[in-house]
Formats: sequence, structure tokens, C-alpha cells
Amino acid sequence: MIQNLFIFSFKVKLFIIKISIFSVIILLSLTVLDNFYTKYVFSHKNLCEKSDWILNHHDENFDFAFIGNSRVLHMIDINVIEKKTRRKGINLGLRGANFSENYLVLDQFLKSSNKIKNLIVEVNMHNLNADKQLEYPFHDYNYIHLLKDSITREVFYDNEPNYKMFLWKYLPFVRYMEFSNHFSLYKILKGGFECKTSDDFDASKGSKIFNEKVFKTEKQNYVYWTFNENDKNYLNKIIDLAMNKNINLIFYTGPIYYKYLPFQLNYTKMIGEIKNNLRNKNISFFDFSNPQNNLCRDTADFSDNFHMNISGVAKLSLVVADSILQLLK
Amino acid sequence: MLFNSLTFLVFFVVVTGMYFLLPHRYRWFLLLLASCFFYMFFKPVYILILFGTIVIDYYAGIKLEEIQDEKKKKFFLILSLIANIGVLVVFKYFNFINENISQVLVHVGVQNPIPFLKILLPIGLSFHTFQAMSYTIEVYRGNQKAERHFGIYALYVMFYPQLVAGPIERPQNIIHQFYEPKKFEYNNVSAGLKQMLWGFFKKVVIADRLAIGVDEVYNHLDSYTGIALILATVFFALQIYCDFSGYSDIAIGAAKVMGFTLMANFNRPYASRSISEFWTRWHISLSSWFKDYLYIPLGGNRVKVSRLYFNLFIVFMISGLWHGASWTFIIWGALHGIYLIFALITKNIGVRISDFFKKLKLSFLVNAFNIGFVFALITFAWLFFRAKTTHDAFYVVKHLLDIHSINMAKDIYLNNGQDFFVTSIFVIFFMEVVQYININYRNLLFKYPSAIVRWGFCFSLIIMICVFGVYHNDSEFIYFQF
Repeated sequence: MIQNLFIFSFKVKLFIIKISIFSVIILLSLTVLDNFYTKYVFSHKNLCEKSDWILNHHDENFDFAFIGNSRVLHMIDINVIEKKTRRKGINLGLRGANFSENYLVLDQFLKSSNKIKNLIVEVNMHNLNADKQLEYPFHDYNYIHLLKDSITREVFYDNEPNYKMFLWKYLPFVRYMEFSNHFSLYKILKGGFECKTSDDFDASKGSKIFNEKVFKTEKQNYVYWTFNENDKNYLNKIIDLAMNKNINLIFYTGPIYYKYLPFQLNYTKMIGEIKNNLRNKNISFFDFSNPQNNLCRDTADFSDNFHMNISGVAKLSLVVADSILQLLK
Repeated sequence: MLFNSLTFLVFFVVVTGMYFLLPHRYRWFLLLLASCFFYMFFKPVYILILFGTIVIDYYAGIKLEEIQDEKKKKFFLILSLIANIGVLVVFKYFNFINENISQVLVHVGVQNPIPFLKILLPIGLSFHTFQAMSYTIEVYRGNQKAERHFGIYALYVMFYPQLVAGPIERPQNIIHQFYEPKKFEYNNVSAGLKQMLWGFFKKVVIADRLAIGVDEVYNHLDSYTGIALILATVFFALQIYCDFSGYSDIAIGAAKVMGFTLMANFNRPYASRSISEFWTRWHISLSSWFKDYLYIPLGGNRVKVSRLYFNLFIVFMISGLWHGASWTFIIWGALHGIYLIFALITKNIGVRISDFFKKLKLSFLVNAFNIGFVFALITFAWLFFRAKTTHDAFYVVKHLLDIHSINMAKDIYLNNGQDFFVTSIFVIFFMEVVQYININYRNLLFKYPSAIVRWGFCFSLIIMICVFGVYHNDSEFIYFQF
């Protein structure tokens, strides 16, 4: 084998020298491109994207913030709760997000000198076991420009395969290559990521309520739920982060259409376990998913088994406001 | 293993590096091992099927050479062909045939008792089966010596660059190359890598980008009509060309780096001025396979006119069926057969019109018209190839000329998909310019005397692959399914 190396040593050397020079030129160019993209993404946020809208807040004070997945984004009307509690609030809910993503966003939000007095966290079977239920539980493409931040990197390490993190570290432009649909050069040259939705998060304070009143249901199958360690871990990190920042914590689980719940095996036990853990930490917990609860019984209040529509959201927001009113700092 | 994956990049560097480090006598083993690994990356168990047919064809080849008796020779040839076609029938066509039997039986009120097979189609089955068949046929005809070295024969069928999507090689072209000691040739390596780069550009920048718009329309056909359908079908014509010729470029380039020469598979097919010319430029390895092993044995051109038309029609219908077990593919093949027959019938009229314009020194007009017309015919046939069902295909045909849909096309291509549309047009234009220069000026952009131009061109390609490439986990090559 070694002998073979010597036979073609000159040709190989020439080739290796040329390909090395060429590779260095490519790597340098990609590094320049990466810096250009990163600066651009930082300065041209797409405020129709919920996560960008959240991260665009700086130096603001909020009396309360709701955090969770679509069941917060679509089911909590901040305007209703503000009116009832006479305090300022924000909806930090993100569609299809796991607790890692919630943690990352909360951390970034607080690092931008925003202050929250009360953090209200929604837990449900989906965000306690996001990998099983959610199609894309961590929306990495929304945060890849933040990878220099240590907490963001930590969250990425827990949610991405190692080889990807290795590549993103040593060949950072690969992150923009992978998500070229989100970060297209055309959009950059044209001057920004235009809004394609009519969402006005400024007016709704981060909420996005379903207007349709048609109840969509599917054939139900039994699902056996267990905790996902990653989700459990990041739920605890949210609790720790809030406690360190002296933020008052309140937990709840929102309504689920009552005929859907019997198919969710082990769910009640999981919620019970969470309740006990929170009790040990002196954190209040409200369970609105009890099948006997009036909020859970009328299809007119739901857009599907798991999400309420505009009519249900109005009712739930009032009930939540009433429940938390005395506990708010 | 997909060519457009990180795994392949590592695999290619390791295998090529080891190939040049190993002494010649061990290289066949390395390539065979690497090819097995490459194939097993998709679904390991299917290697057994491949191995089974390799064993049968290997022994059939030896017997075909040893036996003098014509009847016995024919027996071994048929045995080998049955083994290969049998595998194709079981894995690819059984459920299709069974489904059609069921539909016929339903009409007479009988339930089909034959169960459907719950199996996946082994990747690239039609390609390596046809390559194996060309070996036994060539040995039978006496054009190729039977290969005695089992490893080399297995490598002929399994050589990883062309294992899953061709080019479908002939034994005369490739087997002897495995015996030749290959040295590290700078020119080969450089040319091979450049061809691979060009293939990657076509695949990830053009084909996968066009696929976004094409899939959107063809997966939600009920929502689209008219211009949107026309644009999606034209884009599919370009997508399938870039996807498949991109794969072929990567395959030919990867083999070239190691010093192997594989046959060319594409030659700017959409610049064809007739359908018959198209088939000498598109998937050349398959069309020449059908010509050598089916069309000519059926009598070729040296038969009565009616028989000639029949031969053409049958060959193209089988060619359609080769692509997939579905009526859409059969219709696609049949359409090409009909186009060719029609071209033969109207040949004299065409020649007269052409001569008329030549006299007026306006031949370029005829050429331009012919290229456009042939492209339109081919693109029309592609819609059957792309549609999931015949129902979908006929929906497209029915709504293709609905002119009330300009706003819908604007919505998907200019309002919501402006980014997609503009970038697609830009990269297609870039590809056409590069192809034109490279074909008319002997690969000028890759071989320009000035290193700055050569390097600059390769640099631009890599940057375009990085910036404009589309990277999905599911962006397989279209022809893998065959």
C-alpha cells in the first residue's frame, strides 16, 4: 500500500495541493457568505413569523406571559385576559413547539432585557412527548442565526444529530444551505422576508385565534403516553430559569374535547405526576382538561379535539384570567 | 445511498482513496465490497435477490460458452432470462397484473382469489436486471466471452456508480476495464470530479428546485388548471432531465475518477428536431438496449411497413412498462410509439416543407419550429409519466387549455412562489448557456487554457450549489423507483 503511494506521489501531490487550495478558497467564501447571511437574518426579521416577532421585543415589561405550543398560541386571547386582570401580557406560544424551543425563546426574550413578572406554562400530552406527536418539534431554522449563543447551542445539541452540529460548527454556511427555502438569496437581494400572512401579532399580543366554527374530528386511536426525557428536562429548565429570574410560575393544562380524552392512555397519570412535582415546588397548577369541566363538552367551542375555536377561546381566557388573578404578582 | 447525501461524499472519498492505495489485484474486491455496502444502504435484504440472479447468470454465461448444441444454448439463455424477468415480474409487476385481474373479475362479479404481495420494489431493479440480461444475450450471440471470475462478474452487475440508475452498460464496454490496472491520472480525476460537480448542480439546484413547484401542482391537481398545469408540466420536463442526466453525470464522473469509462446517457435531448432523434439523445443506454435486444430481433426496419409500425409501438409500450407498473407509464410509452409512427407516415410531407424553406435560406426557422414542436410533444407525454394515476393524467389533459387560470398561475409562480420561479428561470438559463458552450466548444468551460476561468467556473458551480441548492431528506432521484 505504501509502495503504491510512492508510485504516484508526484501526481497525487499535485492533485492534493490543487484541491487543497481550491477547498480553502471555497471554505473562506462560505464563511464570508455565512457572516453575510447571519447579519442579514439578524437585521431583517420576518415579523409574521411568531418566533421572530417574539425575539424582536426589547426592554419591555410584562405582567404576565403565556408559554407553550399551539394550545397557547391559538387558545389564549391575551386581550381578554388583559382586560380582565388589567395587566399587560404577551403570548409566547409557538405552533408545534416542544419545551426546548419554548426554553430557547424564553431565554432569548429575557436576554433582550425584557421583564416578565408571571409566567404561565401550559402542559399537555403533546409537549410532554413532542417527538412522538409533533411532526417537527424543534423549528431549528428559526434560530440557526443565534448559534453563537451558548444556551441556543445547548438546545441545538439536545435536538439535532451530532454530525449536523459538527458541520454547523466547522462549516457554518451549511445551516443556511439546508434551509435554503427559508433563507433564499433571492429574498435577501430583494430586500427582506416578506409577510405572506395577515397575522397581526402586535394587535393580538401574540395570539392567533381560530375563527372557523366547524369541528374537525378524525378517527381516534388509543395512544399510550409517556414522558419524553428531553421534554421533561426542558420543562425543568424553564422552571429553573423562571425561578432564577424571580418570575412567578403558574401551570395549567387547557381543555381537551371530552370524548377524545379516554383514548389518551396514561395521560391523567402523567398530569397527576406533574401536579405533585409542582406542588413540591410550591407552584400552582390548574387542570382544565377534566372531562366533567363544561369547557370540554361542547363541540361548538372546539375546532378539533385538541384546539378551541374563537368561541371556546373567549370562554377559556375568561376562566383562566379568573383562576390566575389572585396568584399574579 | 443517495448521491446527493453527505454519506455518499464520505463514502466516495474513502472508496476512491482506498482504490488508489490498494494494489491492482485487490481492487475488484474493494469495489465489490463498496458496491454491496452502497446497495445495502437502501434495504440490506434485497442484496440476496441480486446475488441470486448474479449466480444464475454467471453459470448460464459459462454454460452458454461451453455448450455447442444450439438447443441447449437456447435453454440456458431462456433460463437466465426467465430468472431475471421473473424477479422483475414478482417484485415490480405482480401487484399491477393482479390489480388488473381484480378489476376485470369485478365486472363479471367474481372476487379475485390471488392475494397481493406486500413487498417493496428493490431499488434500481430494472437497471441491473437489464444489465445482467445484456451479458447473457451477448455471450449467447458470441460477442462476449463468458466471465470466469465470479467477483468480476458480480462487479459488472453491481459496480456502484451505475448500480441503481444506470447507464445500463454492455459487458464488452466494462468487464475488460476491471482487469486493466488503473493509475492515478490527474486528467481523469479532474474531469471526473468536474462531471460530478455538473451532475450535482443539475440535481440539487435545478431538479430539486423545480420539484417544489411541480409537486405542489401535481399533488393538488384539483386546485389547478390551465397555465399552472402547463408550467408545471414544462417544469417537470426540465426536472426529469436534470434529475436523471444529473445522476448519470455523477455516475459517469465517479467512475471516471477511478479510471473507468461508462457510456454517455444524455446528449441535450431537448434540442432534438424529431422524436427519433430524441431517442438517440435521451437515456441512450436504455434506448440502445431496446434497439439491440428487442427492436432488431423483432425485425427492425427490414420488415413490411405495417410490421414496422407494430414493432415500434410494441417496443415503446414495453419501454413505458419498464419504467413502472402503471397504465400511466404504458400510455407514456405508447404515445412515443404513436409519435414515431406518425412521423414515419408524414415523412415525405416533412421533407418537402423542409426543402421549401431551405430554398428560401430559412432552414433555421424549420429547425426552431421542429425543436419547439418536438419539445411540446415530449412534454405532453411527460404529463402521463408524472401523474400518479390515469385519472390524474386525463384531468391534466382536460384542463390544460383552460385559459381562465392566469391568476392561479400567477399566484403559485409569481406571488407566493416568486422566489422559486425567478431562481428556477435563472438556473435553467445558466444551465442552457453552459451546455451550449460546452457542447459546441469542446467542454470549453471545464478545459479553458486559463486556470482562472476553469477554477472560476467550478467555484461558481459550487457556490451556486450551496446557495441555490435544495436539500430535503426525501429528494431521491426520480429514476431510483425504476
